[in-house]
Amino acid sequence: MTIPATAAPAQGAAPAAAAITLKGVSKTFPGGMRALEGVDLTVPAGEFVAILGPSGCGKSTLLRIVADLMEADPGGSVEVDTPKELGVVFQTSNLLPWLTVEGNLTLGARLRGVPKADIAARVGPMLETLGLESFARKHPHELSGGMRQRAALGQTLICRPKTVLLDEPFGALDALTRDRLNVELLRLWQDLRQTVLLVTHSIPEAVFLADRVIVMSGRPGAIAEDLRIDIPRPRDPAETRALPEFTEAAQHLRKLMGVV
Amino acid sequence: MRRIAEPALLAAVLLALWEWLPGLLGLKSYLLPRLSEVAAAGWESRETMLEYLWITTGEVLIGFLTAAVGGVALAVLIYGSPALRRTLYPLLVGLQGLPKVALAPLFVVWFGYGLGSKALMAFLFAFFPVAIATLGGLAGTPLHLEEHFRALRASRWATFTQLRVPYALPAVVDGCKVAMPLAVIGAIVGEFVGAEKGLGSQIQFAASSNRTDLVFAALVLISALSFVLYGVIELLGRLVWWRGRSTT
Repeated sequence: MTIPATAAPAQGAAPAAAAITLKGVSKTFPGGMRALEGVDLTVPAGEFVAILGPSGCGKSTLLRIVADLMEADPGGSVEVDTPKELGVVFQTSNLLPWLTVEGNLTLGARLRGVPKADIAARVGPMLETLGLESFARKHPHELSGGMRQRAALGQTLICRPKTVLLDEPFGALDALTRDRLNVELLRLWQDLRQTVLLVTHSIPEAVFLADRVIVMSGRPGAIAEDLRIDIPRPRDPAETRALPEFTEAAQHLRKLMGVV
Repeated sequence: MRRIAEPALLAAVLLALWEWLPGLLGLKSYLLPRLSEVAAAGWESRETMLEYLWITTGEVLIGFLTAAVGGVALAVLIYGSPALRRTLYPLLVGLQGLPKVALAPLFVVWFGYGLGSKALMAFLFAFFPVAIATLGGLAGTPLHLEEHFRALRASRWATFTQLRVPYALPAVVDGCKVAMPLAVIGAIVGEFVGAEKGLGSQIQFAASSNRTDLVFAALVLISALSFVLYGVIELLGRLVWWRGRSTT
């Protein structure tokens, strides 16, 4: 990315440029329920950040505020470096039942007005990356839950977003499929290196994937800990979980969240 | 096989009962003519019957198609405009409460004895179910999909055409299934009140001259017409096969 001549050179060269900057973000729902309380968070471009917390701690609310799907309370500030190049993957795959896998995969790009030729060029490799080549003409109801979630991931990634927000994308899947998709996500991301904000309630998932784990405490949600995961990249999917750093970080997070 | 054999068997049993029961009960044939008498009477006046069937079919189709298009269009307008929802929707509900039969003489006064007043009657009967079903379908788009489209930065128009409309289509088909037989009833009601031709006018004419067999022949044709037209909707409805398919 080039820096415009007129811009203040404060940030200088990558990787220090912030992709997401939240300052004093709070959220009160109609009816008075306080979901978030003064959240400050900066995510540098290209960093993989996991937001970890129990159900109802406001982590999905936080993600929706970053995605501009929800307004924060007045007073705080939400800045996303490239708001137009931001993609979201939800817990539900949200595939349209009347479109084929290919149709669903390209839906987001078509809605965003990506040129047809570009979409056509991207769809084949994306199907291949996701292992869905032979399912391009199938409809979502013919796919397993894991495949649907992969297609949902592809629908977002094919738009080549600079920032990806993942809202428990594998939360509804069985543990085995979930582990497998995490491995695939790690591979994918290590090639692409976008900024990622992953909301999850799984400690191993957070540690396995993220550079940083933000732990949120519940109601109202606030940041309780900002833990850096010092496992070098690229991480090996087979060995990462056996590393002492992995075990240590996971144990620390378990204590923090009151599991043990 | 069973899908055809079982209803065919039931129909055969009922038709057999129709043929033999009036005789067993000793009913006079002008009260309840036997099936064979009805068939004979119908065959005898087959030219008139077919001409009338054609006329009634035309009234039903014009009424139904305008009701389907108009009902969907009005539902879209009401859905898209809060002002129309506040003003037009209650008016529509209120008008639906009117006994439409009572309007038939007015339509004859206004539009004469021809096609117009009958098609309008069929339209009136069929319009409301289509509009209400479409409104329900449009409003029934799952919230998580709406949020997904917002996350994809879809325009309002794209969200409407690519999400809400396909999602509403099964409901529109249901509305049409309710509306089609009602359109048939509407056309017959219109013919009852004032018509020179058509199956409804034949019923009135035949009944007034004690030709019960011809009344029944017309009833059979009306019911067959309704059955066939419903079948067409049913077949077209299979194009929206995604009814009830999970999207999660």
